[in-house]
Amino acid sequence: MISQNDLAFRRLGRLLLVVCLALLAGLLFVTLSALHTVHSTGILDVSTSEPNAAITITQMGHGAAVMGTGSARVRLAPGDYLLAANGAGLSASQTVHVNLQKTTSVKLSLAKSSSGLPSVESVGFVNTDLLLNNGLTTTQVAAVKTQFFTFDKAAKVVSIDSSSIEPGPHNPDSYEPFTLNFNASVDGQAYKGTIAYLGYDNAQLRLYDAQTGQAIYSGPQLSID
Amino acid sequence: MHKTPIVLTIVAIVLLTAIVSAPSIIYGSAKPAHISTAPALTGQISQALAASSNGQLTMPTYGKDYRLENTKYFDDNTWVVTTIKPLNNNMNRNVVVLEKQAGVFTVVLGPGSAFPRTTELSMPGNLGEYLDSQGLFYDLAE
Repeated sequence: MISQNDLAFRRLGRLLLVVCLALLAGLLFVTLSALHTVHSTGILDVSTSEPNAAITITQMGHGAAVMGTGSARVRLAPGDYLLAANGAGLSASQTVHVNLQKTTSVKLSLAKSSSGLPSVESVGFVNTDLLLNNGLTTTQVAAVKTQFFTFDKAAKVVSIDSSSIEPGPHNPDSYEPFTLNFNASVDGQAYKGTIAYLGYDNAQLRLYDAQTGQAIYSGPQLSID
Repeated sequence: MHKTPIVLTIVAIVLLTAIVSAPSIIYGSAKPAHISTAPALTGQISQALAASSNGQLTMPTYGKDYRLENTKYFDDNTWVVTTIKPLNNNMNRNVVVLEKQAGVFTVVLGPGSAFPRTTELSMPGNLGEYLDSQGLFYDLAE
């Protein structure tokens, strides 16, 4: 005869067996899910120049997610992503492509935040202020800077050789533009330049190949008020 | 005779531990990142609005912290301008310009309430005209 105690232990044993089978099924599911994730993703390994930089990531049609601080290593579905890092007033962003079952390593070097759109203000002009000493007004120098930028919107540094600035010939009896000739470089590439100007507002920049003298750029025509 | 429940309890504990630790073991140091679906452009804009202080990041969420309005595409859908409308007092109403670079829209201007007129030279003419018509350009002092 089975005692009540034995019966209770048997029931408990059955219950625990069901629990164990459920947990085994759960373990199988979790393991298979993780293995599927491993086989259907790639690894993105990000490091930054700022240990406190917060790293975020996004993709077309998705929100943004925080990856980590300073550095991060995550699994992502293959595709293009936009990475960004912010910290200590510095920022950086970069598009990356994650490949299936491969590790993509990215180093983000943070710099002072600035507009991603180049403008005249993002160009470093060297010796352009010397043009003021040679007859141009601030309005005309600003126009020259704008035309340098229009010539090369990716330019980082525009430098005028201070010793090369000299006025061109001018006939005092005719209403023709004054000119200034000079040598300049745009990101290290040498050019010969001429600025033609009339009155106080107009200035036209012309750039020529330093070797061949071939005309490369001509700013807007001077307008006579 | 009463050993079976004890053995099964130990097995259950082992299985439970295995369930919790198995993903970490399989993933190693790289955990899966989940990026929820959201309307176009909102991820990049959330990133642009993100602010970090002492390693702590605050990143606004679309639908909770802001919405987008007056979204207009330019130059064969390669440029877009949109207005960020705050849904709480933590943000200002701002305009942001994005350009498609390497297949991904990237914030190139803003968020801001106005931009230097000189940036107009770096964008499609019709976009510059639109921003100008909205009074979003200012002239820098010479």
